[in-house]
Amino acid sequence: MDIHKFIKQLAEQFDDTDPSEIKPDTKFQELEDWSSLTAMGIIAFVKTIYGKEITGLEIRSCNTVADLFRIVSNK
Amino acid sequence: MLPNLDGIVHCAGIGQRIPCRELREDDIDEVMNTNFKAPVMLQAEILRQKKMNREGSIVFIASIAAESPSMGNAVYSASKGAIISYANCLGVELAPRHIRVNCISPAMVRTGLIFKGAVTEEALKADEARYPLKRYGTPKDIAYLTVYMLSEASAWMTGSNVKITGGGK
Repeated sequence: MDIHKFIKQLAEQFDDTDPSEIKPDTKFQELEDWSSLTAMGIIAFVKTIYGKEITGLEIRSCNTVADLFRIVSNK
Repeated sequence: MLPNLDGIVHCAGIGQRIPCRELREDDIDEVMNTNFKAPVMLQAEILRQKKMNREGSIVFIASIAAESPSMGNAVYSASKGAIISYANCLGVELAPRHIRVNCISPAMVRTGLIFKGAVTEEALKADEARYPLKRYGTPKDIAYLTVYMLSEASAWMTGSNVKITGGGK
């Protein structure tokens, strides 16, 4: 898995956040347009693109984008 | 390239009159693909590509058939019920961006859609005479309501399904 590709895919889940604002150390759950719908979107794209299943709990346990990438990579 | 959109009207649809016991898988796919799957997938792509502007308006042309059963109309009715339910959920998801989602449910409207299969012009005329306003709708009747749904005049409407029927059931 490539973290740059992953960040690009993650950024697409945000309607109002500029993609350039999303970096490995971004606390994505603190972004203004973060919502439960964004979490659902992440679960869906991880399944569609990577064929992996992550849970809302796992997403909530992440602090930064890098944390999320690590969880998905290790699946 | 598709520009950003302030409004979209999903109005493509097909009709079908087949008794329930004669329905085959292809009959279901034919109607559901056009009346339900296509607008849902198109809308998903529009959202993925971020083509829908904030405070935009999305309108689905459904049908009173969703709640008004008639013989041979099972899959058509189900497809319209499905799009209404979908639109309600879409409205909830897009509300944070002030994008409104509403349905219009017409009764019979004189278009090519209703002149199909076993339904005769005589039968339609007899049915039309039972409408309190003594006529079926015209595309223009529906267009005026659609314009209202797209405009700021309906700024506080989302998740609604407005019937426009000439008094018909």
